[in-house]
Amino acid sequence: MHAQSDFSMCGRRTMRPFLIFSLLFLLGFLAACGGGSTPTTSTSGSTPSALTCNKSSGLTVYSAQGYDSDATKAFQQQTGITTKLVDDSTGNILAKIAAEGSNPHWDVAWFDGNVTMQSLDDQGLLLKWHSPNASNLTSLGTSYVPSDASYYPSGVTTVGAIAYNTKHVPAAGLPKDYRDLLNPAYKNLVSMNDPAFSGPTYPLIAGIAQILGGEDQGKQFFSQLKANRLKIFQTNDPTLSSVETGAREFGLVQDSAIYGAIKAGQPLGIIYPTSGVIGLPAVMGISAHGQHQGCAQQFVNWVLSSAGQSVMTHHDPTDGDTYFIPVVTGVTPVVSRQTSGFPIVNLDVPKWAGVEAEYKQWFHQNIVL
Amino acid sequence: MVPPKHRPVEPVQARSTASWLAVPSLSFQRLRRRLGQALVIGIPLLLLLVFVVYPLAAIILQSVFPSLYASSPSLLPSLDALHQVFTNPINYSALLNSLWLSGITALLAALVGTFLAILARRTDLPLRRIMDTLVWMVFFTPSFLIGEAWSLVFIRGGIPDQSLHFSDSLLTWFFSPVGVIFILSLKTFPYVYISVCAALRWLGSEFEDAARIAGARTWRSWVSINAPLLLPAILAAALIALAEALSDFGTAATIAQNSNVTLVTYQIYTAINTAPVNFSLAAALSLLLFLAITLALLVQAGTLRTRSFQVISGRNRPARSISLGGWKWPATALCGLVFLLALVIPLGMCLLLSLLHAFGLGITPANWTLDNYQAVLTQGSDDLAALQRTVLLAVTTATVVTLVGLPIAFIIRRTTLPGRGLLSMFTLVTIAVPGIILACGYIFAWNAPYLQYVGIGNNGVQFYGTIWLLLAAYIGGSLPYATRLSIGGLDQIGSSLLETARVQGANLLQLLVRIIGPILRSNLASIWLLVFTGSMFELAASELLYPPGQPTMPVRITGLFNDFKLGPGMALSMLNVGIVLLALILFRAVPLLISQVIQRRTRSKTPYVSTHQTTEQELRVATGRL
Repeated sequence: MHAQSDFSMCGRRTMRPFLIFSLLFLLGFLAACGGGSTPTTSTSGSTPSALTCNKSSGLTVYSAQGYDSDATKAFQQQTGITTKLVDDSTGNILAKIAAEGSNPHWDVAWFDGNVTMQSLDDQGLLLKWHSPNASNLTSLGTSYVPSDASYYPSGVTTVGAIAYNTKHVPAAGLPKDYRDLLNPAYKNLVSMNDPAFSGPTYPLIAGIAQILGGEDQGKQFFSQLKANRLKIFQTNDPTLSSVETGAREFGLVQDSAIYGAIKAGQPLGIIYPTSGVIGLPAVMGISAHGQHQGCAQQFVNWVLSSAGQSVMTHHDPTDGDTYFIPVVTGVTPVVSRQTSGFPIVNLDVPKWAGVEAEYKQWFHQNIVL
Repeated sequence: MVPPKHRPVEPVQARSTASWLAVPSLSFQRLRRRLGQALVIGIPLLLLLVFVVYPLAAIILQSVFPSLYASSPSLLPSLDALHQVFTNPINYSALLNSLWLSGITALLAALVGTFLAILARRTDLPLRRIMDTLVWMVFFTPSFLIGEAWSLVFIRGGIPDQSLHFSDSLLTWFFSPVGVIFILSLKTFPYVYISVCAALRWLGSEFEDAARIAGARTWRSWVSINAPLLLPAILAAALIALAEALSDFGTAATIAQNSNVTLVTYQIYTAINTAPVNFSLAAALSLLLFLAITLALLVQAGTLRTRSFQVISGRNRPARSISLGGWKWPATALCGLVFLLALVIPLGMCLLLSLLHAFGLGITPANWTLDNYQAVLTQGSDDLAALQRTVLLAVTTATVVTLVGLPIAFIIRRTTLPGRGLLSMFTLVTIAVPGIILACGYIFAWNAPYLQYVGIGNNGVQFYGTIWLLLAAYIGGSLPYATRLSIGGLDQIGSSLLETARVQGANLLQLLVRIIGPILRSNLASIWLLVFTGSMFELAASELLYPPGQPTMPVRITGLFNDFKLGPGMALSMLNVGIVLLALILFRAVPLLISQVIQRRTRSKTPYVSTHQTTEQELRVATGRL
């Protein structure tokens, strides 16, 4: 027997396998614990003075923005402050932040949607502070700063703009406002995203409800839209693809995504409904319990400065996120997009934050399914 | 096929292990032996406890103790979440939907896997020699790629649609639970294939011959005699397929989003991904999945209790190959179709997309490009670092898990330690829990405030946010698979062999390292490869747990997909797939070379294989056949 002969060949060395096995396990385990126990910060325990920033321990940014990698790299290069990035979807960032609870590893959270950010503030997770660079904000930008100053906008995109395929304009012409989409002539032509998967889509369904007069009116509108054979896709990308390929004619999506697709050569046009589109600010909040608040404040200040804005506007033009409306004075987009000439509706943030879970579940049960 | 209760060797085995554990005197020799046993049994159990049980408990317990990890932690129990789960009728229908969807998936996987296994092992099918390799390739292709690729194949206005013009009914048919079941069964049939191949090794032709003498035709003897005899092997693997389908979220979300079907995993996902995040609800919903797995285990046990599946008598006759005759080509075509659907089309679609500028423009001469590859390669340092990190993590995970899985399997199968049955069930439950739940459990468990007071250094245990936690999560995530695979291999080793070793004075450690390890080396190598490739494409844990600034390869791939950069995303996927294929080829080539060298030196040595084989994961015995 093969194994048996192996065995008798080195039968006397009983110590060797024992050593190999136990060393291997012990090494692995100690390495894990040892690596874990290296101090990650120099200021633990007592509350750090809010305005000091240790450049080497730096800060950690949790972000869902397309330009976050460019921004954190540039910030680190310009200031020498170590900046670590976790780039993930907004949903995963929320899960991470919630699971970390009172022992947070994030210093700055940066994603689209003030309703979502407000819910973090409502849970007491955000630092209330006054950024000196808030004075750089335009009046539109200032309108997104909450009264307790717990987060700041870095730019605005809108939802509710209607993408259409320029090659297949229907005989009935183009719709001018949301209610026009209920026209039987547009049966089977309209598409949008699922709020369960697409971050900008809850603000969309909340905003349309607000424009139409309230949650009930919103639900009624989407039920009628469904009766007109609305089609739901997961996110901006598949919805736009369906419009690009002509499978659908209209897509209610984030306007920055439409501009990105137009830049990529897709045959798309954009309609801003007359009753307005919903402003969706990219917002930055600082962890209330973080250990690098000084660095975090410097980062937010930097994003609100022309240096930070310049990195964002010069980001990859095929990335939709680059097509934001600046909210810092003196900043103009490098890419071409319409920045004015349409009303921007701002959400009643506390109200829509309060009904988010219920409204989304209703939408899933009644519209998506 | 011998179910456990038919194994006469079990008591002997139990006694012998018990005597290993009972140490009468305390001489140095015995002390060392005892220490060795403690290490061999204790360390793997400790790893399982620390890396799987503790994190899973950290989140599941929140279904009853919602404030366990709140800013002011308390053990105040609350039944709110459970109440919410069990009073909402949507959750019942979600549980039902999850059950039937994964049930049909497991059934289909069982049919396809069994069919292919029989064709490969018992017929003169032309494809049979490369079947194993093809099945392994299916195993290795990540399911998120298969799902993404198939949805792009069937998208209205997509490249295939431009020339084939799919009918509406076909598309409606595909973007429904039908499509989900289709993709999930393509992904899981290899479990059944491997399991049944192993079982077929012990199924001689004597029952068949008896049936033939009684006048049955070949196909009849297979359907009514051999197929039922293979049932334990089929059920064992179908359970894994079921658990995988139960925990699936991505495929259902991509394919069947608009169909009138809510799954448990969807409910879990929305509880975790919507502000304010509700972990206690997600944990309570996960209990539904536990319920589903328990139901499935009961069904399995009930089925196996009805009769004996014993075929191994010590006088087994060699199996005969069936000549397919006129059926040869239809059967080949059918096999080809399976691999066309599971491998060629999805991978081909990915490859195509990685070579195109814009998906919407279709296949035109101007649309071909290598830019995507150039883009991801010149992006250079970031991707290269991510790749190195991922390979390192995958190699370490595979090594640790392979070494640790064997002792745990040994505990489950060959000792009388209390709770081993629970341990066995636990491994299956872990497979059925969605990755995102386990990942959140890791955050709670290893970022808990109380860890400040534990351990070494100023800050106590700071595990979360380091690469070590990701490694731990990979290990924890793949340990259940490795354990179940090792059980299969272990069941093939006769107790008499182990008894002999013990009589000659081998201790537990020597037994594992000197005897079981070498015999199962090809089995272990396969487990290593399986875990390695699985880790190379691990997404759920990576996304939530990767250390800030240090993403892994799959995180970068989905990052590209999320930024709507389909081409570069596919290019990066293809590079990753290429690396895994390279590993597969190396793994096939190296043992082959080694075994040739060994064979040249010693002709007559054949590895001992027992005549005892049990139900459960005979499995990947066949894994050894890689």
